[in-house]
Amino acid sequence: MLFSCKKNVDLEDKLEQIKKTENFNIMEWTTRNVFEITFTKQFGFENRFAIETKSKVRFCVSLNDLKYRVEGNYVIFGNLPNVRVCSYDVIEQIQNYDEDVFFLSPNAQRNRRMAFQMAVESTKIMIMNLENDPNIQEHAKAVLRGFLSGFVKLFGKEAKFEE
Amino acid sequence: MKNKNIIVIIGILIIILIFVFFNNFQKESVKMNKSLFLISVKEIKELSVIQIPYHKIVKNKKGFFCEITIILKGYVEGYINLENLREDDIKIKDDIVYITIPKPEYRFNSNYTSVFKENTISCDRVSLINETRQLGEKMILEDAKKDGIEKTIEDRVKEVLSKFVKSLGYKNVQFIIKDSLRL
Repeated sequence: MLFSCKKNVDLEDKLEQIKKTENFNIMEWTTRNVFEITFTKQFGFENRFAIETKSKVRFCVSLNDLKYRVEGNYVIFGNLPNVRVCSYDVIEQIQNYDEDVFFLSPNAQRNRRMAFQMAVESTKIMIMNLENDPNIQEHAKAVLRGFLSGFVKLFGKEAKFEE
Repeated sequence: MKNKNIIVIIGILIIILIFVFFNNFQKESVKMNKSLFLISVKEIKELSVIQIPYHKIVKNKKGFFCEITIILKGYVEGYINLENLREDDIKIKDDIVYITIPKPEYRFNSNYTSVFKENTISCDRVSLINETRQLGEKMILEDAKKDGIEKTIEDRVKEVLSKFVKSLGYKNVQFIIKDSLRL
């Protein structure tokens, strides 16, 4: 009895400790986008660019609001917090780039530079929108459930999740 | 007065017996036996668990005046085919269910194709577009593989099936992926 009480205290201590985690790294996600950018006509010709970007996005969750209660052999977790983007890295893939540029265009170089910059900025906006993607939220929560289940198992308990 | 007490005691005993009976009956009815369980799992022919958007620029040059660049957009769908599940793929021991599941699969569903640039004077335009689309689909599936989609699908399948099995009253589920002997 004394032993099981001690175990409970340990578990709750540890859970309180992990609750202090602000940025718990949940997963890395790769996203790929293609942008078509067309500039206004010069001498009757358009400068067009197609740029593919690849991004590595790291999703984190704050465990501060994690709610749980211990009931017998179970640790019951309340609604899990949503994940958010905590860092990203946009990679331009030059090999997956194409352009349709009028060869006499005086603005070709300027347009090209601008197209790349716009593609990167648009990618950043799309990355931030990933937080609203139910697929990503669901997958991230599955990862978090797996972690919490494994964690409480170390203390001989089983995790349950309220939804 | 004594008779009244006996009637009350008998009444309480009957209520307790009814409660115990229904409680056990409910517990039994929640759990399915193995063949019923197999049927209900097999009824899920294909379980789609994830859809991830993928975009690609695909270039295809066949020769002089025969080249094209297309932009392909759509999503990669991860799924598992449960149709060929056999009876020995499911084992139930005490409250734990062991399921051997086939390797997750994925396919690309395109919802947008546009020709970005073309020079098809010396070849058939339509067949070049079709060939480039097929090439792009292959490239997207390779990208998805590199991005770790197989693991993502596997995790999602386990999560979905675990929830399903636990809703039937079983305590735990262990998975074995066919061809990999991984638990």
